[in-house]
Amino acid sequence: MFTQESLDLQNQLLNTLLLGGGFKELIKKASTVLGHDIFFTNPTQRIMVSSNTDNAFVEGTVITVTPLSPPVPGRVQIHVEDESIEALVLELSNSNKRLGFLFLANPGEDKENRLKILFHQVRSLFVLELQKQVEIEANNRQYGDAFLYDLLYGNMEEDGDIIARGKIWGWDLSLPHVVCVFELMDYESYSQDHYLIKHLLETAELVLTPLNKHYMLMDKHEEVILILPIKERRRRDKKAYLEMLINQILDKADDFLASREVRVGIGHKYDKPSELFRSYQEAKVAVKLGGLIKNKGSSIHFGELGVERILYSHDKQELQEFYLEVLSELESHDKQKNELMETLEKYLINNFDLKSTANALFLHPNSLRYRLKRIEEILDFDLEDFDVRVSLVIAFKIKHILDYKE
Amino acid sequence: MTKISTKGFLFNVERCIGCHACEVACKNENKTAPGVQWRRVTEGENGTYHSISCNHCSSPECFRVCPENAYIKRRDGIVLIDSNRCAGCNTCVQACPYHAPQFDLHQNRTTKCNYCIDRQREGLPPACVVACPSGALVNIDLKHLPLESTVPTVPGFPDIRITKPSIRFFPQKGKKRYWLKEEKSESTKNTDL
Repeated sequence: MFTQESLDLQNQLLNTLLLGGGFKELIKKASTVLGHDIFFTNPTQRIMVSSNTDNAFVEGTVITVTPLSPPVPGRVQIHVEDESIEALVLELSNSNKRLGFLFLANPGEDKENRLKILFHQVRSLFVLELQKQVEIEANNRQYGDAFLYDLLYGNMEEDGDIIARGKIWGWDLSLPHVVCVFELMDYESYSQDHYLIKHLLETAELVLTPLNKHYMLMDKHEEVILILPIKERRRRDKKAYLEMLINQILDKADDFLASREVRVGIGHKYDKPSELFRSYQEAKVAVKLGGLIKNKGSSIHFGELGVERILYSHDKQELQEFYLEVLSELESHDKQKNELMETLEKYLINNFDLKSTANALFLHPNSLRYRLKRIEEILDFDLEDFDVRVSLVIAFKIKHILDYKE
Repeated sequence: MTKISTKGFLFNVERCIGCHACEVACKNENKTAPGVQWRRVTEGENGTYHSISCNHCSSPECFRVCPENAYIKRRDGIVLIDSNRCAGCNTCVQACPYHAPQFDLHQNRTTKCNYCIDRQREGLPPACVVACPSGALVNIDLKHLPLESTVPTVPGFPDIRITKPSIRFFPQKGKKRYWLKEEKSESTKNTDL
């Protein structure tokens, strides 16, 4: 049954490949012969190539796949925003790796399984072509990643060399760049977490590709590193632009990340590629300190870290000494209840405002006044003195940094 | 082209007998100055021992804090120091949670474990690994080793959150102890009845 038709289809598709046609030609031919729209997605269900460019199922779209009701083997319902169609689906995989999925839109009744049989013939050629593509990409990526690794660790010192080598991959490193690090918290290398990182990398690609920027992306353990050319001169514009991109990536990643936390650190902009490793280190510090700085969202700019940035790099022993000098008496006095330390910290957080501190602590303002007076007596400080206030703020920041480091 | 990899160590807490052979082998191989110990064996909890050297971290603090940019992180993950660039400021010595960079008083420079790169070039494992008589210390590539039974840290090991060291551990299991039971005397047996 359909043997001749099946052989003819295979021959036509093979000829297309032999004539040098890529996926686009292959999908066009298969679609014409079968009389249905065909498209294929990567393993994360982003459409890579589609025979139709008119409807919602175009390249770059991420589809949602649900089973039919009642379920039918080999058939699924696919959705993009409000549009939804029925489709035949086949997995594109070799013996050890899933490469993607192939869909045939609106198959109709398909008497005697004609479409299903012919669709299987199409599948094998797609697997062959896809495997070739994956190998080329992996090879390319390996060289590209090695270059980026050297760039991020400052292993290349000549700007001219770096710019020339970057051109091989189409990256213009003569422009100023900034490094952003997306870090998956509580990453465990021997769990499924590396799939999440791959997914995050693809999501970032999905958001950035339409912008047609010559961005650089690589994954490294728990990190996805984005190196982005940036033309915005004003700090505010640069920040707004980066926040927009990061929020888009995180919004799209939210579906698969579920409850997992991703923190983003952003380094300074550097004009010379040989100095980009500094931006990477800054972005990593921003990620680390992000856990200490509350209410700043999931993305932290190194330039906005404030005094924590200096304290973090400072000698631990000296920090400890400063902290003890300022707050040890209050801490030892407060050992049992921890009431006064908490009161003082809340008072600092609320910008030394009595009313808002009292509200935050669910206290009557007079009780708060009494506590503050006791703190002044114990520490022998005047809380109205500006220098004292600065010392106290720094002492509490040191406390958090030391707690974090230990 | 050197491929990107993550060279590191795998340490079996259970197997380490605290013989200090790794320390001696390291000293012998690298001819470090007196007082400089790139690898050290320390006592952990519950009678265990830890053999610690540079862990060639994923986010090396020494690399980050060095004002002279004397540190290099190679594609294979090994962190090296270019002692010619080192100004002897000791910033890295204080920053490293594992005390891997060691200050050499004679040369007035900092030195650290180099994962025996000369031996690596010859295809040999680091000297400390070869010297370990119980096989507690093994060199591995963390990128390609699917060891699900290993853990990222063990009690007594410094904090790993900041630098993400390239070391994995086989954790300590509960010790198996055997006692000889005293045979009950005839009189006790009678009382039991």
